[in-house]
Amino acid sequence: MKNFILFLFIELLLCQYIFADVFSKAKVLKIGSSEIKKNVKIENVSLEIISGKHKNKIVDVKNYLWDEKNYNTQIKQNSVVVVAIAENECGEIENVFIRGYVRDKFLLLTVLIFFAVLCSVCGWKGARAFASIFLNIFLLVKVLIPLIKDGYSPLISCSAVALIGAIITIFLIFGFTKKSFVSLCGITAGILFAGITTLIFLKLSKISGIFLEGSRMIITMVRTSDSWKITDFASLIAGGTVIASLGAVIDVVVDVVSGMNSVSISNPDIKKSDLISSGLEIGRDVLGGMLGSLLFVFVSTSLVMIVVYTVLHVPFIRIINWEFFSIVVIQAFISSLAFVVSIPPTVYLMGFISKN
Amino acid sequence: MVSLLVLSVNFIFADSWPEPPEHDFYAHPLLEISKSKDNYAVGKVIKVIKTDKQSDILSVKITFGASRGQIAEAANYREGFLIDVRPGSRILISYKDNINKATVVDYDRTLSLALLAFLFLLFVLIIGGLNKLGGLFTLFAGIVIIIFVYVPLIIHGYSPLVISLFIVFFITSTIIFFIGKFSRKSVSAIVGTLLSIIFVLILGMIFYPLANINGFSLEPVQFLNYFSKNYSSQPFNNFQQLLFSVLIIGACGVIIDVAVCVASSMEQIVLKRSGISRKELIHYGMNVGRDISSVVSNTLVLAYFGAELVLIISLTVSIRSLTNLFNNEWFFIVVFQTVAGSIGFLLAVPFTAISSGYLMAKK
Repeated sequence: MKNFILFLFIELLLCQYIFADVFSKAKVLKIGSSEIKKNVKIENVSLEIISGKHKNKIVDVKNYLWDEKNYNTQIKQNSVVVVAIAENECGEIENVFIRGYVRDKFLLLTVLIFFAVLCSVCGWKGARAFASIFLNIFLLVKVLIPLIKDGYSPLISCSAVALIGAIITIFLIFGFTKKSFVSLCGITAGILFAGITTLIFLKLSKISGIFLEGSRMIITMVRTSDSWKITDFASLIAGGTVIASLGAVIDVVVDVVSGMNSVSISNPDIKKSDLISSGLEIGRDVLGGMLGSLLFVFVSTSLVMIVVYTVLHVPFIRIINWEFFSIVVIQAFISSLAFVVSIPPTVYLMGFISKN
Repeated sequence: MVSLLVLSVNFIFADSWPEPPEHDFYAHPLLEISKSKDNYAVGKVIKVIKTDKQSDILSVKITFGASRGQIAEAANYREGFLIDVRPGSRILISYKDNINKATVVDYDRTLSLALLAFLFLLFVLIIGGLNKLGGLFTLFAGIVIIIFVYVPLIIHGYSPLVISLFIVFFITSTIIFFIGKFSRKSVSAIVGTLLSIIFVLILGMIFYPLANINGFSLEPVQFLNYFSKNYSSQPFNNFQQLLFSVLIIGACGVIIDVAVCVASSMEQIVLKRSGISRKELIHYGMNVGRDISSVVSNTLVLAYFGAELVLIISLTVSIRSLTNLFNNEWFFIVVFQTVAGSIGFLLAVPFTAISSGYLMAKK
């Protein structure tokens, strides 16, 4: 507990540090003399700031090169780095720190490669898929995160945003048809299942959610700032499960609906019960490959932590009862269950609607 | 002292550190555990024996652990994380030598996790049919192999990249063989999956060194570095390779999904029209894949966003300008995992279509 309080205290101070900083890119003009202390080599570097409001100013900074080389930024003449500029009250430069390497152009390049591959594999459908990804990201970042910060129930806002995202994606795929209606009903069933079951299991296993990486920072912000109103971490985790399962649920539901649609088109006289059983059959086929897709995502996000536990020889019985690990297991299982559960309602509704 | 700590923590999400990173600033529960060799047991609370200022002394019946069935005494301290204990609740206790001087450390969550696993199995078997049992078994075997074979091997100094490639190859092949039996369809799906995974890996091997990615902005990687140096005989060094394996393990699930879908619908066409030419078949496969992958394209984005929701929200505090965000290492890793994984399953379409074309059509 002492440690916990200490950490909160540290992060209180930390917030003040962060808000004061302005980030810019800077070019290395000259690497001057360096001094070696106990476990550090300090280089005196002269930088020219090349972006932001302090553009074209020349500053002298210290670059710390630790024995632990992973924590260093290695610079050469003319290389570009990101710097944090601390300002005083008048907006003048008070202090400059080297923060790290420049990565934005590589990030842009990966996204461009993705777009090129998407268009060459999917043709004009690729552009549509890109639009739906873009809209989803916009919704998540610009709508969902502010909603959660403002203190709306995280689970409800995640479900609402997930539904809006689903509506956009489905209309881009199916247009305004009864297929869209059926798909949306199936997706709603899957999402609701994911959210509610996660909440139930979090309560059952008495998980508070305050020990996740990141929760500490949120708690600090809620205590220090009036604009942060997150209190219910269990609901936040349930919301995360809803978002994580959404993509896979849409995927399965669309496969089932379009499969059943093509069955009823190629065979217009098919009986309702036959259509439903062929729908269930399609769902079974789709499931086979899908089951692993989300499980492996969750394994990969927690892999490094698993390595840490193993390095420390923490007994398995301790790991499995750890909040962090239990949350990963619950999220992984339930988000995979969500798309399994969304199959039957979709199939039956599609059967009823296309035969009535 | 505190100002020292502040500076260290301030730079958690940066590449450069103005204070020695070796500094022991981790106030994490892991640290206490790593310093003492504790034994653990799971028990059920019978009653509260006595209460004093610092703790409640409980009488606990051990249900799992070395001395099963025994009744032990455990102290539930009031400082620290409060554990709400009532008679009948299941708790995790730790002790050094004497089980009667045990401490309550956490709730016991195994029962509810087991219930969840059972529900998962039940729903998948009811909705997916009994023949999914083999697929589920291989899936869990794959995860168990990652945790109990891959992780110990890389800790003992084997290259994470090579081991993870072998293990991902093994897992994908067994999963696909169990879904589609041993057939041409399965072989072509496996070829498509493996080629895509290799492509994702190559993409990572080009971009991670270019963008100077070593993972040290991520708290787990810092833990791993710190703990393996100070609490283990063998320090862990291959951080970039570890990130490569995280990349391909995260992507392989979705890639398998797309490859299997493409291969099985191509097999359906071959069954219906046995004389179909190779070119026509590949063209058909590409068409099917186009439909599938344009729908799947959202899956990875949403999955990673949902899985890291709490972290993302907390990072909106420290990352407030676009220059900071786009050059941030953590952001690069998350976006790259999503985008490279998506490129992987998109490429699984042509790879699988071509390999199925050569395996299934006569000419």
